Amino acid sequence: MDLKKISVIISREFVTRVKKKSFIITTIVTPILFVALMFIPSLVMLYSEDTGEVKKVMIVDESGCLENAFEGREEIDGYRFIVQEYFTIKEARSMFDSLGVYALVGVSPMDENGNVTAVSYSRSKVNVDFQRLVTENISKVFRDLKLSKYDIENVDDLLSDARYDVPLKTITIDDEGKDKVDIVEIYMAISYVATFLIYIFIFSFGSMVMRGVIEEKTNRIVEVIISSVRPVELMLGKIIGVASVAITQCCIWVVFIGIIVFGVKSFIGFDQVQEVLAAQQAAGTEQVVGMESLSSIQQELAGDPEMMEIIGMIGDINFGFIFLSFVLYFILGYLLYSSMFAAIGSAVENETDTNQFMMPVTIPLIVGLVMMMHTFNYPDSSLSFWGSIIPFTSPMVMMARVPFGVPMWEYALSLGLLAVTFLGITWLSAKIYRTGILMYGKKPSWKDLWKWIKY
Amino acid sequence: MNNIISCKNVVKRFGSHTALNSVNVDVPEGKIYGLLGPNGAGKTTLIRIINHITVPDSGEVVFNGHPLTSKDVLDIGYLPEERGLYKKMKVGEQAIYLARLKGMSRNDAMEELKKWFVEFGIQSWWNRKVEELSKGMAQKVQFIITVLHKPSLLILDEPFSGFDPVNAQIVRNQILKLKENGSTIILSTHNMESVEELCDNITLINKSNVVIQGSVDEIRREYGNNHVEVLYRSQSPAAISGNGQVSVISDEEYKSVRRMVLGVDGKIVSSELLGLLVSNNIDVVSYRELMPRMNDIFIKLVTQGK
Repeated sequence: MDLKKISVIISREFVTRVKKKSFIITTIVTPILFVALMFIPSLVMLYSEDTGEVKKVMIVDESGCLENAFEGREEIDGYRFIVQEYFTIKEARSMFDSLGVYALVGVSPMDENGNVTAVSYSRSKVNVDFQRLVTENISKVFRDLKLSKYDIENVDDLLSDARYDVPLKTITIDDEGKDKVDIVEIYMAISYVATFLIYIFIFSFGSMVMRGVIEEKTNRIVEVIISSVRPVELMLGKIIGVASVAITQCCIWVVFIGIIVFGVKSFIGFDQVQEVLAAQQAAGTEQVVGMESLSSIQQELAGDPEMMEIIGMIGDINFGFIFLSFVLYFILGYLLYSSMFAAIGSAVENETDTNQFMMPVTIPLIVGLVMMMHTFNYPDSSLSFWGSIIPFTSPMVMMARVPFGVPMWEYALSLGLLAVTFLGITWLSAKIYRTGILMYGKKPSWKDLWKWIKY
Repeated sequence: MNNIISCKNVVKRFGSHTALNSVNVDVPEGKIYGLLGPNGAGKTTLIRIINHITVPDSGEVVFNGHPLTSKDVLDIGYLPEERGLYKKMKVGEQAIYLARLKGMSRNDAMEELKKWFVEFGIQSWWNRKVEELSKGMAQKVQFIITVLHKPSLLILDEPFSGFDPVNAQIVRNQILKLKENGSTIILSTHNMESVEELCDNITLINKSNVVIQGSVDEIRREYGNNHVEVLYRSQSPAAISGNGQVSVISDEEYKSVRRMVLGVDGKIVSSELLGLLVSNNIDVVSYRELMPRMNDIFIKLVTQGK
């Protein structure tokens, strides 16, 4: 291996790609899109409330029981409920357009068993949330009514006592035997996003390597180059060059997203959250929520204990370790797949011929992605275990497991196997590559590739 | 004379196909060596072996007295038949990149390139992308890239293809100049005229085997019929007497003079033959040995094998 020549190749691969318009555009646009995806839903909610976009819903109450059903909380989730008993449902239906309401809900008179039926009319289709909202609120009234008929003592106290949701707090026991409060949803989200990013990165940068190899072959420059450097040096130079493009892009994105998120947060006024987070992390991640030494901001927020708890949990997540794992699994996974992509590129003369060889390479990638959908729900199942150990799926499946915590030996085994496999596959790929790049004419078959390995 | 490169019993197989069957080639230093053969004969495989791109299954390649190693490619310049450049890269940048892969420093490459660009009068191409160049222009750039690092051995595979006659002449002169400066050149081409004009020695490969090898003049003589063409001024056919070794094969009017082909038994000694003509009072306008064209020898040898 001539490291000086490889470095010349790496720098060409890097510089020509980084200078491309498409690189500059994706580098700038992606973080903006990413942040937009993060914030637009909350912005929409924020502003839709502010502009008073409340949907009026008229409840036509023929049963006469719903007078107080919405008392004190006429506005729920963006709907305003108005109960009236003067029209019949039929009358209200005929006047629908002049009522100026989003929906009209008719509740029938009670039958002999105290049951009613309800019907809703609207111009646009109502969503599930709306249906749940209406049935829950109306049902509650009639449930109470029915219970009160049984002539039970202190029925009101009983009812308010019985109406009870169990709040669930999930706690995991960490390696030192201490309790750690966690939120499964946050782990799931991190697991999902990280895995998906690895998949996209491996795929897009792997095929970038492949396109580069095909380009050199169809340009017919490759023979000139390999009269100066060994084919394996050219292949590794290209793979590492593209990897450095990926890492550069990733770093720019992290910085960019950081800046934009910070900017947007301070704009919407969420910056307290940020500061609490920072304070929490500075104070050490072990301590849970607002126990001592509350800063003034923490005191401000202390009124909302749930919020404080979430913030504490976010502080508990070992972002450093997750990021390290992400980098390790991305790099090793990329190296494993990109050498296969390079071998495919060397065997064909244009991109449309790649299909038959792409299948076996993309299938494990996709299997890894599908497994991840299972893993982030069941991080400790045996499927998740094996998926995270077997090298071709491990970059994705292990990444999905990492946020939930993985035993050190499994982690080490998975990384070790991945590294060994990468070396083996690169060795095989290099053999296909060095023959493939000089082959023109007939489209090769799998048998040909096997022959090339043996040359 | 030293051989810059010697291939000894080189064998290369691809699966069941034998591309080179125990090939011996010695390329003397400072000469232009022709490597000839029909398509698919094994020329490109041999060239790739000399370039250390492929490794022979058996046999030995000796470069300047030592077995060929990957380091030696820095002293070889190779212009492949199937050649190209990165289309989206600028000419100058690309030339520097390829020169650096041949071990030159950026500054040396820059300096040498400038000289060559001036020599070829193409300074204005430096910042143009290759895709903006015509085929011939790109070929010029490629030629420069091949010779830039002053290799002692140059391997040129069809160097004239894609050039118009003017540019082909420029390249031909550059090749001769490189030879003058001490470079050895292996020339692989189907253009037999340039073989006759440029090559000192040749090897003809057909179906993986060396068919003929040696100096161009000797080969042509060997395959000739010892014929001599004489143009002379006369109204009627001349008669030659006094030497039983010379016979007239044909004699006809040729433009304003007459053309006579003589057959000679044994070796032709021009001074004796001319003396004979003079003694027969023949008014000689031109005299030349009729050597077969390389083209004819090539076709004869290649079709013979079938």
